[in-house]
Amino acid sequence: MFAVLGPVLLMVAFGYGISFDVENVAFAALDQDQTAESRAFVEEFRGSRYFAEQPELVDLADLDRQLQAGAIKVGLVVPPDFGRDLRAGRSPEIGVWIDGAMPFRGETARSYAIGIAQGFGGRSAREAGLDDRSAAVPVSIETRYRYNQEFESVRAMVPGVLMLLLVIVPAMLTALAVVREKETGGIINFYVTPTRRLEFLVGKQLPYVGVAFVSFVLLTLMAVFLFGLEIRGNLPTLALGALLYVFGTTAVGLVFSTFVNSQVAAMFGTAIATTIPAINFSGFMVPVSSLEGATPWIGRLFPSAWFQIVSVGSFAKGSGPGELMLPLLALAGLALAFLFLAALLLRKRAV
Amino acid sequence: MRTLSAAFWLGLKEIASLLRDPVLLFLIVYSFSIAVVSVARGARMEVNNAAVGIVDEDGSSLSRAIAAALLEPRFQPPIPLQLDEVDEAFTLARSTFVLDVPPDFERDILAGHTPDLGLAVDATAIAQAGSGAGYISQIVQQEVATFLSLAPDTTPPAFTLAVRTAFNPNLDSQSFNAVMQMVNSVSILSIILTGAAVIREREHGTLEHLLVMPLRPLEVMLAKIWANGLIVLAAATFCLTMVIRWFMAVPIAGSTGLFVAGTALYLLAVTSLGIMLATIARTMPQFGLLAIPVFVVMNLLSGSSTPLDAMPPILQWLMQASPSTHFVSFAQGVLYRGAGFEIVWPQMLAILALGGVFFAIALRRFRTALFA
Repeated sequence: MFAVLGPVLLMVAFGYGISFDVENVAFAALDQDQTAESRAFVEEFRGSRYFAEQPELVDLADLDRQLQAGAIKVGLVVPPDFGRDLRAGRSPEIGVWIDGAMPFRGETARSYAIGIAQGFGGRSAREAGLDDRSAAVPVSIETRYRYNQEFESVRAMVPGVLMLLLVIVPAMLTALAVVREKETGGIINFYVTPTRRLEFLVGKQLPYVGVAFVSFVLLTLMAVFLFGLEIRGNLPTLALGALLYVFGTTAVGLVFSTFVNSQVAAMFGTAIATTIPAINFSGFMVPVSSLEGATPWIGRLFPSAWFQIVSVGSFAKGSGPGELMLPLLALAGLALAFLFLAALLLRKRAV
Repeated sequence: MRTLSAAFWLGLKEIASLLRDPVLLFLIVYSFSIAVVSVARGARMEVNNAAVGIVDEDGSSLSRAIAAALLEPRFQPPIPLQLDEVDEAFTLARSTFVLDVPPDFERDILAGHTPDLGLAVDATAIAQAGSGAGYISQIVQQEVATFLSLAPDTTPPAFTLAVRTAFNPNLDSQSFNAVMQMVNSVSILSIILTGAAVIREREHGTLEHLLVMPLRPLEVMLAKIWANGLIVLAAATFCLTMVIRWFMAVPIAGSTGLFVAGTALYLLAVTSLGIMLATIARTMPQFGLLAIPVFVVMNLLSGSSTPLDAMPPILQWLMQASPSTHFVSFAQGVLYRGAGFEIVWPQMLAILALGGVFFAIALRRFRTALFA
């Protein structure tokens, strides 16, 4: 019951909660000029859906204070005589302060702020009868945002959350199932009977593969009916990928169960050891192709990176079995590899 | 006084039993060292080391100049692609951006025809897509301008923009990630350590032993809180001073003492939460299934991965009931922005208040669980 309900709750929280959409960035202005021009400049920010205005700043110390308290993320400082200098063509300097504490956010806020300011600059230049300088370079760049034209976080996140939930919970439950027997002594049955290691492990694994697959079905239904995603690719391919994936993630749980002796350690160990590669090295937050050092390889040796490709491919990119052959094979290979690793590590006798 | 001394001695027993579990100890060390370093170094949220493919249908000196201008660390050296390889590169997530230079691009540029250059972006790579596309466009325009050796425009711009980035001038996400991963580890560890300490005693029947001893539930609970809290606090302090500040050489703006004080308050809240969850669950697997959603939500929605104000208002409002939200905001204030007590006291107060509520609920439930 818990096993199915937990993932469903998490899907709701993540689907709505994780968002890279940068909107309503809190900004405040320190308008030291108070002319029509300076007000028009601040108005540009006010009118943008990316920025949300906070009470006007009193002085520079106030700017520092508000930035430090995190109350504003962008501060604009319009110098005295801005309007006069602008009319006289003296290029006054506007100060833009960005809170860099959250780098992703800061980077996006900076590019929005520059864009808005340039828009204002182009317009005031045209009004003044000057050339718009940006037209000078004779090249047009046609940027196409593929697979997610609307640039909605939810389209990228929900397939990723599916990947995430199908690793953390199944791996942990499987590990606990084995370690629990160690703690309660039930594993003696395995030690004293001629049950083979693989039989024992697969027997422990299969129920959780079943549970995980049921949650896959539920989560996919939620993705489609609650979050309004469509499966642009091939549903059977996605389902096959999910099945291979949960075989792999439960096998990861088995591997953990072999060298851990307490349920606490099993739970804690699988939680930490699965969330880090699944969140950070799988392509969920950052593309695997951009990871550095050993981390892309940690990612590729863990099933999550491959299922991420299958999941995002099937939901957003319209990929079918042909394109996804490589990740599917990798998932199958890793599932077998982790299962055999667990069998190798499982000792027939308790220490 | 008697309560405190009983809790003290019982807590020593807790620490002793934790010290005898090598796997658990290893995991504590791991989550405050290797985990923090690898997450901070490996996964960067800004446009960094982005994979670009280039379909060069022109093969001119200009197209090569554009490819050569995509520089590290922001971009990897572009991978040459054929047109029919583009879809595969996107499907298998090998490229996040693909630049398509059309045939006769250079000739058209020289003739002043304004040719179209295609830039395809995998928009499912949400963190990089928007800013990365902006950078690539700027680089292309700059290269074309240099190629045409356009005379620099001498008319002054209408106004200039002095953009300054406070607190993290290079917008380097390594320091952000390191501290946030540490904060996440604090939440996970405290909940699991205390919760599991309760469940383990219940499963082994030693909770009954405690019951027949002249101890009150309050004492048992306080012992678990101080012992596990202290271990996590020590590990977090070590992580901040040795791993983050010394080993990774990440600049930390604010006072370590203030951060440790805030963390101690936070630990009261999360260890109480761990006990509370342990009184709801009957077995370790149930506890796991209960605890995981709780700490994953607490971590991911606290503002440590994506900003709070980008979430739906109802969720922002609900997350105010989570101490992690206030703790993340406290940690960001102190450690990134160098905020002092006079700025972060509202967050500390919120943590303390929520901690008090959790403690009271946990104690109530713990009593009934003990005497049930």
